[in-house]
Amino acid sequence: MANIHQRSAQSREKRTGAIAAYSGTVAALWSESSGAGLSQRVRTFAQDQPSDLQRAFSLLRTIRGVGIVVHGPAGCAATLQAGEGFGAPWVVSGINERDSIMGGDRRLRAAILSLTAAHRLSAIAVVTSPVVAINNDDIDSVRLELAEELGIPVIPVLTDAFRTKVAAGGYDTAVHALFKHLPARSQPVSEDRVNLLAIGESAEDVAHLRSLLAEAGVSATAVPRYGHFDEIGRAGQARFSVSLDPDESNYAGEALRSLYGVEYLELPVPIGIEPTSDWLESVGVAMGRSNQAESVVHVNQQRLAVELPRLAGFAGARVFVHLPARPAFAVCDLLAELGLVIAGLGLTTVSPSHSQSLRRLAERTPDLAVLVGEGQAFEEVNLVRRLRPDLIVTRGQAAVHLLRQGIPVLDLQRVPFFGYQGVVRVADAIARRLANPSLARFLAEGDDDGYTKSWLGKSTHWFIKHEVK
Amino acid sequence: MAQDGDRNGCALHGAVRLLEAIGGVVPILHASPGCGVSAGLGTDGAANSCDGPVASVRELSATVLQEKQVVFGGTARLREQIKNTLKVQNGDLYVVVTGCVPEIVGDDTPAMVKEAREQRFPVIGVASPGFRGHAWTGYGQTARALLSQEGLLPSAGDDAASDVNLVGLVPGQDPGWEGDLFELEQLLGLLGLRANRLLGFGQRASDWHRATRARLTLVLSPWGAPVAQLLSEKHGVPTLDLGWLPTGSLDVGILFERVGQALGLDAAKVKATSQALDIRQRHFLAKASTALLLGDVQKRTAIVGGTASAVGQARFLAGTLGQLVELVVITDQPPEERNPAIDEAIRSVLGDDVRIAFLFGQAEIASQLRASKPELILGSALEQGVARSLEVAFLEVAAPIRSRPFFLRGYGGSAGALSLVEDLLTVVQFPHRAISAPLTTLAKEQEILS
Repeated sequence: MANIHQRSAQSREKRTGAIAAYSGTVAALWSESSGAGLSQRVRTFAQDQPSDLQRAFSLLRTIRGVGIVVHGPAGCAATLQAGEGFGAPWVVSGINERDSIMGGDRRLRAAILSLTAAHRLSAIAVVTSPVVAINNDDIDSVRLELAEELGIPVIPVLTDAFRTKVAAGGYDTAVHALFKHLPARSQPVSEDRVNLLAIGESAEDVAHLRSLLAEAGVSATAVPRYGHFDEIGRAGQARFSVSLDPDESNYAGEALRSLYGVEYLELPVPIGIEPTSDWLESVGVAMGRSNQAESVVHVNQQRLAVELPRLAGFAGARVFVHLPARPAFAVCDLLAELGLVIAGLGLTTVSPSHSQSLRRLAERTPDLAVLVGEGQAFEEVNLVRRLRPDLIVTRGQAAVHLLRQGIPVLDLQRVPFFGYQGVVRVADAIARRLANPSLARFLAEGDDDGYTKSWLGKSTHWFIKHEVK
Repeated sequence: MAQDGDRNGCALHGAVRLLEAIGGVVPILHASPGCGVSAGLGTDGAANSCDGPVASVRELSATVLQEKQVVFGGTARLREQIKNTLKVQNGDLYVVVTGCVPEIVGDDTPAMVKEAREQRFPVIGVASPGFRGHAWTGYGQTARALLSQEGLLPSAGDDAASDVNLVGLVPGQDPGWEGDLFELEQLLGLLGLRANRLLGFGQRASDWHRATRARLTLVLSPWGAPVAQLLSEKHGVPTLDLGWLPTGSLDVGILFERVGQALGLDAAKVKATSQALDIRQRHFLAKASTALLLGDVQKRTAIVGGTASAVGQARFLAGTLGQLVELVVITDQPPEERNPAIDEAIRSVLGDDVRIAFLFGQAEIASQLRASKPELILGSALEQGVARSLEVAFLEVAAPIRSRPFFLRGYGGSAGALSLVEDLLTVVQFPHRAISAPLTTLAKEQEILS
């Protein structure tokens, strides 16, 4: 449950009981999740993984009107520079060794002023780094003073990289900071509109879902991703909010409920034909437009029923799916619908709230191998060499280590996979990957001496241990 | 003071990118999560690749420090990580790279490294917290750390020592570093010399061992100087400090002459080799002359980049191609004592009218560019916006790079200079084919959603 009145968002571990390390069967994981709760585990060997800063950047960079000030050494902002955020105004305070001892408030002040001098902004988000968190730098006095001087909110986004193993918690931290510091509105007006709670989704996926809703006569606004800071407050006037990926949308949904009393409708993620139809119909019912929603569903289902046999031309192929939990479960169902076989499952994190989905998988395939973690290529290589799937489906992982195993990879970073559009696009992308896996085959012919024989011969869970408190 | 659009990363990035460029060397990050991910995504990581939320897998052994280790210290976690890295990742040499967090909380990293060494494991440590410098500095620090531990570097066996070490081109910061090193290797080969690239394809820790027995170290940027100094002081390898990347046959000729003098090569043979390169370059530039003449490519030009490439490109574009280079912005923050030499290297070819600025902030550079109103800008992706607003031709030559990957392509040496001309002709004559990212991520997303 989000508590917007706290200083910052709780970690996913505390708020949802999420864990970021597990390797074993889906049946054992389900049994644990439905029992006393998932126990925290650590890796005694690990590879680098994204931090909450990087997730916070990924969301903040899409919000127009917001300028990002990274308060930390220059390198902390590197992901804004290239991979993401190009186009969003940002600056890094560039803490040096002396500041790391004496405090970096002077630099923070200069950074905020330089950003506001160069851009017209509605708000500044100060994203904190591990160095600032450890030194307990006093950012409040600087930001409060400058907020008054500049006349715009200066929002503290209190990320620190080390308080959570679940990077996606950075989304919560950013959402918490944004909603907590929205300018007060004098006259709340009710609008006949839905908040589409987009957090990490691609623009193409959000646009598709919005257009489906529009066909059903439902007006929807993406919040907070792709919104404008000045407009985020309007989310408080919507009829209700609806989730896209409940794991990510939940924090914003609960925050809007607690701040403005806007109802939050949490629905299964609209990936695949049935879930998309259910999602659309549920929103239609809640908006009093069930007939129109049903007709949109009908038209799309009929169209896909005709197309599906053509799309399912690769039935029987074995797939390893590695995605965030909710999309992963939904994609597994979609792939099964397309006639593919799930050979193994990777989840960036898992929590007791996924118990139902785990149960469904455990009942069908109790021995299905599950790996929980993000960025742990060594475990993926170990597991995938054993499972030998025909295809790997992932997102934004640049999984060249898997290609080197001779297995084609479908990365959903650029392939829309939500809604009805996603069914066709994913099926098409799978067909392409399987039609010509030459690149993977060629890469696999080389000597891969990265991992020791000893490791490749061990069980995948070798370095995952229960955490000692 | 504040760094907008900071292009120079941090010391840890420089360290990681250097170590990843050496086969058989396994970096072990002792840092909070995400430092390795940043190292891969900054500067050239996005070249022609991903946007949106990214979790690139780097296969980087890392302690991924958690709160417990921040509060109680992370040395035990590091000990465990070193021990297990040896069991999981093959390597000739393991290098513990420490980031900001363990340096602040005071982890005794050297003790953990020493402990591993006492067990006869080839492990060394490099302190490279981001608050202590940028990626260019991290390159120098890490290269020095490797060379000062030559006892741990595997020996290359009895193969002949190389003649010339190449230092100063920085992976991740110099976009074409790998192609440029190959090109220089090939060029020195024309003089019968064996170059030691040290980095990139086929280079291993044993090549760093070999470097200690070379006849000469060639410094290609201010960041190679401390490396050459160590090789000279500790191993007696003499230094030839050019300080920039020779681009085009005229500057390759200067390089040949100075290498020839340093190594006592036959001057006539050196000269003949230079002239052969001039002839080759003349052949191709003559071939391009129709495009050069009809395309009206002689532009008032501004160059923005790190010392190595910006100086080399300025000298070639002005000294050979006849571009009107009016502004050179050096972005890698070289130590101040290097500035006069950089100034001299540029002015000796371009004359006194050229403006030379030492800047790295995006906004400051943009305002310099606006003031000088060039017709052609060579710079990083961060200069794309100002080029667009000035409606002038733009070519991405410096980090951060977003437009395309660099494999064997570089703009240095003789072949690289011709690649530069090819690309210039493209962007000047066909601005719509500009070699730059087509649209910013944000703009693209807004377009999709509108």
